[in-house]
Amino acid sequence: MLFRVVSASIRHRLGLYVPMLITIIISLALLGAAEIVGVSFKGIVNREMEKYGANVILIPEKGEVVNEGVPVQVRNTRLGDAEVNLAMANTGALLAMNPGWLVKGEGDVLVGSSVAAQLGLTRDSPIEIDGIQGKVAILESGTEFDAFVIVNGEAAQPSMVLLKTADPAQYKGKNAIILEEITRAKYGFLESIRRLMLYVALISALSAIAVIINLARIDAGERQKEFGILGALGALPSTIARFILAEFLLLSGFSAVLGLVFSMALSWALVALTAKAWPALSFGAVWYVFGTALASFVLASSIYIMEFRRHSIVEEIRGE
Amino acid sequence: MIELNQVVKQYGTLVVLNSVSLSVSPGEWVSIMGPSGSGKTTLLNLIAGLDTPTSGQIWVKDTEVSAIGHEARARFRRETIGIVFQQFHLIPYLTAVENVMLAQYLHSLPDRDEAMAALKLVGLDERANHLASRLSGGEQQRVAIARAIINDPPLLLADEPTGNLDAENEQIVLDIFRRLHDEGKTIVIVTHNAEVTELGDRTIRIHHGKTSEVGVVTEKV
Repeated sequence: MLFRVVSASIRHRLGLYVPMLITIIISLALLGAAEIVGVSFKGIVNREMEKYGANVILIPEKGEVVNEGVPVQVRNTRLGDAEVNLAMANTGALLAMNPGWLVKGEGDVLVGSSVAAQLGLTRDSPIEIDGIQGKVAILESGTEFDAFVIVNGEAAQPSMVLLKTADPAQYKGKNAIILEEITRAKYGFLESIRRLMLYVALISALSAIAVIINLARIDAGERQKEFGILGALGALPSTIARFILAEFLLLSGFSAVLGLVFSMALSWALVALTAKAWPALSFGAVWYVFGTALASFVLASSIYIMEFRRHSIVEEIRGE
Repeated sequence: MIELNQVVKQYGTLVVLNSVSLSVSPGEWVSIMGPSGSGKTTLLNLIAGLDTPTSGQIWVKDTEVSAIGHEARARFRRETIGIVFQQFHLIPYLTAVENVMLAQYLHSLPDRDEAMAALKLVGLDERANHLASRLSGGEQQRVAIARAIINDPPLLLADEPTGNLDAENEQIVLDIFRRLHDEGKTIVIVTHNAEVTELGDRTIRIHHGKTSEVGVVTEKV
C-alpha cells in the first residue's frame, strides 16, 4: 500500500517533479562523469607509462656519466637500401624495464614492428646490421622504439638513458623528458573537461536545491491537505514521515540510477572518442552519485517533513 | 459514548466554544446545528481529537481525548472514530478502493475484498477502480463514508456531509447514515440541513460558542 500511494503520488506530481529530477540528474551525471574521467585520466597516464616502462628519458650532457637506468646509444645506419635508427642497449635490461613491450620470436636483434613492416622482416629471419649478425625478434612496444632496430650491447656513449624512478619530479629542469608530463599534457584537455563538468555539476546542484525549495512551496497547500487527511484517518506523524521518505527515496534512487547511466555514457563518449581508451569503472563515481542523490533525498524530505510538522491537522486539512 | 464537560476553545482572544457540556449515548444520532462560525466544526474537531480544548474535559468511550498526546489521539482516531467531511477529503490520485484501503492500512492491514464490500455497501463497487478525482461529488462522499466505516468504528462524526451534494445524492448519503445508525453506530452530524436533523434522535443547537436546547428530541420521520 505504501508503494502504491507513493508511486501514485509521484505520478500525480510528475509535472512538478520533472524540473527537480532534471537538475538532480544533470548534476549527478556530471559529477559521476567527472569522477570517471578523472580516474580514467589517471588510467590513461598509467597505460602510457606502462607502455614505456621507463618514466624518465635522460639525455646525458657530453661526458656525463649516468650510473642508473639503461643507457641507449642511438645512431643512424643503413639496412639494405633503407635508412634505419639503430639503438645499442642491454636488451635484457631494456625489456625488464618495459614489461608492457611485446616481443615475438626468439631472435637477439629487436626489430621494431614498423621497421619490420617497412622492410618485410619476419621473426627469426637472419639479419646483419653494421656488421652485427643475429636473428630477428619483432618488437611491439607501442612507443617510438617501434621505429628502431635494437641490438644487444653496452652503450659506450649513451644518447639517452631510460630510467624508472619513483620520483620523476627530481629530474624536472634537468635535460630530461618526464613521460608523465608529456602524457598529462597530451591528455590535459580531459582534465580541463573534468573541471568544467564539476563546476556545471555544482551549479546544477545549487539549482536543484532551489528547485526543491520552490517545489515544496508550490506543492505545500495540496501536500498539507493530504497530510491532514492522513492525520485525520489516524496516521501517526512517523507514518506520514514514512510516506514522505519513501517518496523521495524512490525519486532519489531513480535519479541516482539514471545519473549513473548518463555519467557512464558521457564519460565513455569523452574518454573513448578522445583518448581511445575505455573509461575506468569507478566505485568512487558510484559513491559520489548515490551519496549526492542521498543528500538531495535528505534535503527534500526534510523540507517536506518540517513543513508538515509546522501545522496542526485542522490547519492542514483546510490547506492553510 | 461522548461526554463533554465545561469545554472551552479559544483562539487568541476569540472564544469559539464557551463552556460547552454535552453527552451522547451509544447508538444515538445527534445533530449539531447552528449558523456559520458558531463553533459546530470546532466542536466536532475536538470530539475527533483533531484539535485540543483550551480547558475542560472530553471523554469518548473510555478515552479522555482532551488529556492525551498527539500520537495517542492519532491511535484513538484510528480505533474509535470514522470521520466524514463536507469536502470529502479523499486522496485525489488514488482510486476509490485505494482510498478505502488507505484507512485500512493506517489501522492494520489493507484488505481489498473488505474494501470492496464497504464500497458495495454505499453502492459504489462498480466505480471502485476510478480515481477519486474522477468521481462526482455524491460518489466521492460515498467513498468517504466507506472509508469512515471500513475499520468498523463505534462512532461516526460527519461535518456537513450533504453540504456539497445535490438532492438526489443527499438522499443516497442520508440513507446510508440511516442504515449505519440502524446497525447501532453512534452518529454525530454537524449540519445546516433541517432534513438531516429530522433523521436524528436529538438536535443540539450551538450559537456563539454556546450550546442550547440540549436534549431537544425531534420527532423521527
